[in-house]
Amino acid sequence: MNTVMATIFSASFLFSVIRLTTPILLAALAALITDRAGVMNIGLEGIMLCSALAGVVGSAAFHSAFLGLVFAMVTGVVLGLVMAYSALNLKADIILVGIAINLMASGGTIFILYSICGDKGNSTSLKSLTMPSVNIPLIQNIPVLGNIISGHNLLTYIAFLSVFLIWLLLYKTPLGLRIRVVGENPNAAESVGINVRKIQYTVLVISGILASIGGAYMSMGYMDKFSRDMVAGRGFIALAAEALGTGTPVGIMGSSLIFGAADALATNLQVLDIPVQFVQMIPYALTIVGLIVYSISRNKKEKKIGISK
Amino acid sequence: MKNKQSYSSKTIENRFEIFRVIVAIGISLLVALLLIMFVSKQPLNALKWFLAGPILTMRNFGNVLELCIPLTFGGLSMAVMLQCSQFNMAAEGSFFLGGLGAAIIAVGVKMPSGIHAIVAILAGALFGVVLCIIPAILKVKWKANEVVSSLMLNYIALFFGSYILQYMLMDPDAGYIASHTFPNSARLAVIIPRTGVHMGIFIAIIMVILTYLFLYRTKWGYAIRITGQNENFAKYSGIGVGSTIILSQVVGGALAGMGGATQVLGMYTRFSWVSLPGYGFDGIIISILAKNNPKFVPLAAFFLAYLRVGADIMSRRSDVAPEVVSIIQAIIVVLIAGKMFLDTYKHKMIVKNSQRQVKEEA
Amino acid sequence: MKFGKRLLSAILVLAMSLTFVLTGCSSEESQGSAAASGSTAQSGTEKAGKKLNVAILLNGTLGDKAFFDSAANGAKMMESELGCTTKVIEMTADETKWLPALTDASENPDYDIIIVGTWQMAEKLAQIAAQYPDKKYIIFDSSVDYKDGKCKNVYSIEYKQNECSYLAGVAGALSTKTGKIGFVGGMENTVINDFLVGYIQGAKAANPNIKVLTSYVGNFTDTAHAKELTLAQINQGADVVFQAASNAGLGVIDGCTAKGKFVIGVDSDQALAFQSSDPAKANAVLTSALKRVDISITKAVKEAQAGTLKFGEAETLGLADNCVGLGTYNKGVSKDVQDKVTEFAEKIKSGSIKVDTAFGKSTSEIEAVKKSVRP
Repeated sequence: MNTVMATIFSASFLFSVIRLTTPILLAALAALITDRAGVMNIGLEGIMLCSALAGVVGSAAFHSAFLGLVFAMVTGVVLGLVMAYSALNLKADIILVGIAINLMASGGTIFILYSICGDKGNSTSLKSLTMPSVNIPLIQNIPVLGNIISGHNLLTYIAFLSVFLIWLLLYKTPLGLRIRVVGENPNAAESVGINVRKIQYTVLVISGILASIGGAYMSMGYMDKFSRDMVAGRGFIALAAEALGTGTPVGIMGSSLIFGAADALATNLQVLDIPVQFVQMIPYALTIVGLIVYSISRNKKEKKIGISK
Repeated sequence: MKNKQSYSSKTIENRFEIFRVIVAIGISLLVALLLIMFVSKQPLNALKWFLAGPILTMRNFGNVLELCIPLTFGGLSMAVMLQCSQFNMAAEGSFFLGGLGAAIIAVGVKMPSGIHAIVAILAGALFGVVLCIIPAILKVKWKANEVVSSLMLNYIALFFGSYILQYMLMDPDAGYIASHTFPNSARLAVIIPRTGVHMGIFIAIIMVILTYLFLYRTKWGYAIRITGQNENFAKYSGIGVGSTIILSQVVGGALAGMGGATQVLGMYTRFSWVSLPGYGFDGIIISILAKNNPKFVPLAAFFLAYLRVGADIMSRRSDVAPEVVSIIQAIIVVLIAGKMFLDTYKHKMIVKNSQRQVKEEA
Repeated sequence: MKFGKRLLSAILVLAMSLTFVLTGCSSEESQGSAAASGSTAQSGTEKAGKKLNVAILLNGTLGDKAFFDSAANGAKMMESELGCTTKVIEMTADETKWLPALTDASENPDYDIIIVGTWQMAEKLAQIAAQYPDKKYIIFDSSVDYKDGKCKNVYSIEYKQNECSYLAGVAGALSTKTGKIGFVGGMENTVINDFLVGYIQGAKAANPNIKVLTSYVGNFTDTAHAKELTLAQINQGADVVFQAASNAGLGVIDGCTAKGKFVIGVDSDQALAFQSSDPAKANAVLTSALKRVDISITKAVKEAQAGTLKFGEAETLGLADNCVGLGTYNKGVSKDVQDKVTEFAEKIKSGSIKVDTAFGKSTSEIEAVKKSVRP
């Protein structure tokens, strides 16, 4: 038990929390931006998986990690557009479209992997590249803190920077205002001349980009190759993080960190006598509890304002 | 004249729906053919096995039928929940827990043949209900999003199930994590020799009929459908929306749980699931394909089973991976769920028809 | 209208391909059945000396650089050394597909020998082998039940993986500087725990005060989680980690490489597997606990080709048969350590050391073994 406590309060544990938070945070921001425009994107899991593969394939094909990332992002944009077209033009239920994307991704990535590498497990036969790790000057020399926040993968910093960028986008730009208006009342938005469909197309594309960076992080930062089903539900956890984060970028950063910490804790608790399965349950059980707490508080707030739905 | 007009445009709409489904399937198959052409060194050989493999031998066809059983249950479960407009993904977890529940009864209790299997399946249904009802209660009580809560519950169900399996059911002499073998009294007998087609197929057929009657011939089914179409209208009509939502999830969960139970008792000799089986998510595809109508679920299940078995045979006989099916499925779901898909064409058909009618009248 | 035309052409293309496909198969099918009657007429002895056509059915996926890849490597060895024709079929981890795939292969007249592996396949194979008495089968990493004279057409190969993991434990315990070593398993099942039990016993034999950290990924695919578990073990002081996690094990190798610690590979020689593609990883491999599926199945097929393979029997291959053991050592492993390992290996071969096994142990007995070395 003492060793566990010592581990939890160590710099390397907090470092691992940030590392585990990164993909969840990116995907949760992707969920946020669509949610604020009234679109629920549950295809994040699939977009992440596809772009994780795209990043690996792209970096191997172009001999450049950066171009690999670009390729992953293009994949994310394309999938975002596919979702938007299906949901907004063909009028398919967006949740069904998301499920379709996820189903397609889990099998489709294996199909492509097998066609390229000849095996269905992972991409070890491809010489793919990873995004670099960054040591922040000055900060890296601060004791303890330097060990926690310096030396992460470039994409980790992009993830935390995105929190600020999304905040900027939502609250300080005309586009952000439109997104929020569309999300709150699409009919009113339409009546003041906002093109709702165009806004929802835009958010799905932005969402695709954010999720694709999260996917690329899985295969080009966190790991150095693609392996089947490697996103392993992180896209779903991100939906929960978004729900818990009370719909603001900063709140989502907080909830994503909680999930990252729960995941890191689950990993470190494996040495205890508790059956593994209960430890593995922690992040998911936490999500449900958090969802209930969030829903109760939201309902109270709505009652106060007097909105009855 | 007005009556006649509306009646005929309704038939057009029905015919058009069938046409739409066929076109969607056609497009998705076409994409699959192109993909196979693209990746395979012997595309024609691959296509041959993919499209014709399942009907070449009785055994292959048996594989299609045996896969139909869990897919039908998954489709029925999702049909009931989607009719109520509830995106409860916990059907997946219910399938898993249903299998577990059946295994507990099968291994843990001694009972005479026949009754044993029935009790085990009912236990599976109960397990399924317990899981599926949670997102519904959270939704009704606190408006918690059922999509998120049910996705999380699936993982909890999986870990809970593997704990039970490993610490209570496991056979230490088995070389992997698996329960003791099921006694014959609990197993569902194979009905077509040299295939895996088992008694579960009858249970599936009975459940199709019962689910259809439930949804379209009872007041509860009516309440579920009205709530699904328009919650506010349902409220004004005096339907208890909350209890209706919960009821739909109870029925859906029970169907998924039964599905897991029949699958485990029919296709396995031990319980050894260590990951979610996927039939709950498959259920969504089937339900969409069947327009959420239990009547069409077996047909949709057969179609999907045929595709999958064909793809498996193809992968064994050629160089194409069977996962190509998942791409077909995604395209079908999007095109059929897309209300506007081929819509302009439909309008043209209706306009043309009414023009003709006007001419006839004149 | 335009759409109608396009639709029509699409339907035409479909119809054409379908008719082609159907006519194409009917002829193939008749050929197949003719060949089938021909091959069943042949007796076993007539076949001796003929280049065999071998199907290897794997109930998992390739690319693990370990167990399944080793079996696939066996196929290559058969082709180059014995002139066999081989086909490796990945049945994936979906259990419902295994029986159809096995039946399908059994009915295919082209295959002379069908090879499957793992405990999960044993019961299924016993059932199928009885239905196709003229076919020959080999199962590796498990044995079918030969009681009552059943399975006369099946040869079984079992491995003493606990022996090679015992040596891995010795090598690990002698190489650690912290006195703590790690074990990352894919799933908690009996074969994986058999590795663990041998590993702990070997480590204790080399250093009675050794501490062993144990984690399980929970599946054989999540490389990211496997890496995280490895990093956690390294944070808690482990500097040598043994992985038995198939595809997910690549995450363990990755984690050890990133932190400059040693990893002990499994099944295949993982230092060799990474030598050309990723030298950094190859350098992190201390050694590998080998389970030479490739050698053992090639040897069996060779004997079958000569007509001497003892179908209807099971063989357990261990250190003495060179089918389990340790792979190449890392440059950092001193001669002393290597000699010590060889010493233990000799004792196992001579029978003076008896390596414990997880088969037949309950979950709580395994827990007790783990507890005895928990820090």
